[in-house]
Amino acid sequence: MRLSPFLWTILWQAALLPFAVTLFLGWAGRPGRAAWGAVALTVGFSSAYALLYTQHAFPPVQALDWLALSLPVVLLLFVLRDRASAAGPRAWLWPLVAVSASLLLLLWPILKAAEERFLFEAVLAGLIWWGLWCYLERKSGDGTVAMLALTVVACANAAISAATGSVLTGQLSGALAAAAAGWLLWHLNAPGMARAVVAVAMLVLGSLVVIGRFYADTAILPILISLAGFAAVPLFPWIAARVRHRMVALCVAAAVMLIPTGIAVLLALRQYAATPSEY
Amino acid sequence: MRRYMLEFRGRWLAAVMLVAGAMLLPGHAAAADAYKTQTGSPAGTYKIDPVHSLAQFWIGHLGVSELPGRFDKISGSFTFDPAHPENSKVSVEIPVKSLDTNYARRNKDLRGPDFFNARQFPMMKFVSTKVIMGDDNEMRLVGQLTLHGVTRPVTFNLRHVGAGPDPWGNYRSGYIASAIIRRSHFGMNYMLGGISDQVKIQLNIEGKRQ
Repeated sequence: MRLSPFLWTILWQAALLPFAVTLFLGWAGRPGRAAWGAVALTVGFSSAYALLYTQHAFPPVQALDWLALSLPVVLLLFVLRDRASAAGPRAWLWPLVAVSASLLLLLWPILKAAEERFLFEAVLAGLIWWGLWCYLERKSGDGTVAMLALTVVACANAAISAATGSVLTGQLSGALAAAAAGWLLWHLNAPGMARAVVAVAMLVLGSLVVIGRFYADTAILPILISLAGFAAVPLFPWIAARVRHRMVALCVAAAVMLIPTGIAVLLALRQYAATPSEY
Repeated sequence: MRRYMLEFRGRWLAAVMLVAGAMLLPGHAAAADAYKTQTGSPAGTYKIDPVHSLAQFWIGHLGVSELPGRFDKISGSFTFDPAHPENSKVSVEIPVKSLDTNYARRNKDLRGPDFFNARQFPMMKFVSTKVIMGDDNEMRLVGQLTLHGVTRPVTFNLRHVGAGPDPWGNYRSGYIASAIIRRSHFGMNYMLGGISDQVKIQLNIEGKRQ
């Protein structure tokens, strides 16, 4: 099949460019440096965001406008936090502040016209977002698996969002998956992952899921099922203990992640097919 | 006898046709007469009749066609003063959710954050600032169009279709306003490679005098 220039442009902007930029920055910088990985991921995703989302406004008007501001702020704060190595009993506080502020900024424009269940859904979304962020921070000891899960879930969200909600947020989610894959290639054998990397990835993924759900009515069940892909992260030590090679263990973990995310994508595609295509 | 019968039948047929013609002709003439372009002065303030009004648009697809779409709900009012056109004004509001392009999936995409972002910007609004009288029924309607959270000046070509009393004692007046806008001017830049920037819009408005 020969892709048209139009589809090539979309593929280039949503997948190849963020992947190539993150990969290049990973090569140009020092993969071992924690902060550099977060910068590479941010720049990789932002390159696609700048090309795909061409409606920027400053001060921000629409929810997606906020990513241009929140992403560098979160990157800076969490890199500083990594440097100060602010782990410890209040490690949960940073993600909580970031999630609360992001949620408020993203949903503020539609708060007035919100329906009854809006508040309940928003609080639930915030709790899940925060919980996963803290969870991935705790699992950052083996960042490769955590980022692998994030890549798979972002891929699933790309398909779910494009099929049942917004094509744009789907493309941006694909761009995140591509940038995360670029980061992964440099860190297959370097298990540690900076909290700033988790912060950048979770900020983008969470924002896209929230925007897709609250602005484009993306189907909620496939989203929730796809998040179960993260459940494969704690299984990795068990898999690695039974498989000799780390790469094989990673492939097995990826296969496990594909079960819930695959089901979620199939559900979304089924819903897409069930939507009346004509009157 | 047979000849007499044929003659009688012919006369009877002619009589029936005459009576039927007499019944039909005035009705037809009355119907044609009722469809007048204008009776009386259309000056006054009107409330837009949503049942007989519609907003439509045409947008280019991949450079090969122009796809139509419409907004099924429309409300507002207008004041027309032919003697003092500077006193004329128009205010139209259209809920974005009423968008329909005859394809449910596309409607959802268009209402979403990729294009109209109906959740955040639920209403489109046009408020006139000036009416410039032209020849015959042609006019220019200048005003501010608020779309997708952006307000910009837009000039419509305005044609007065007609005005007159309706069968229920109201006085009605109708207009067709058309313009070409660029969606990018209103911050709708998504997929400019496949969906044209220029959008033809047309408002078919019928108002009931207040």
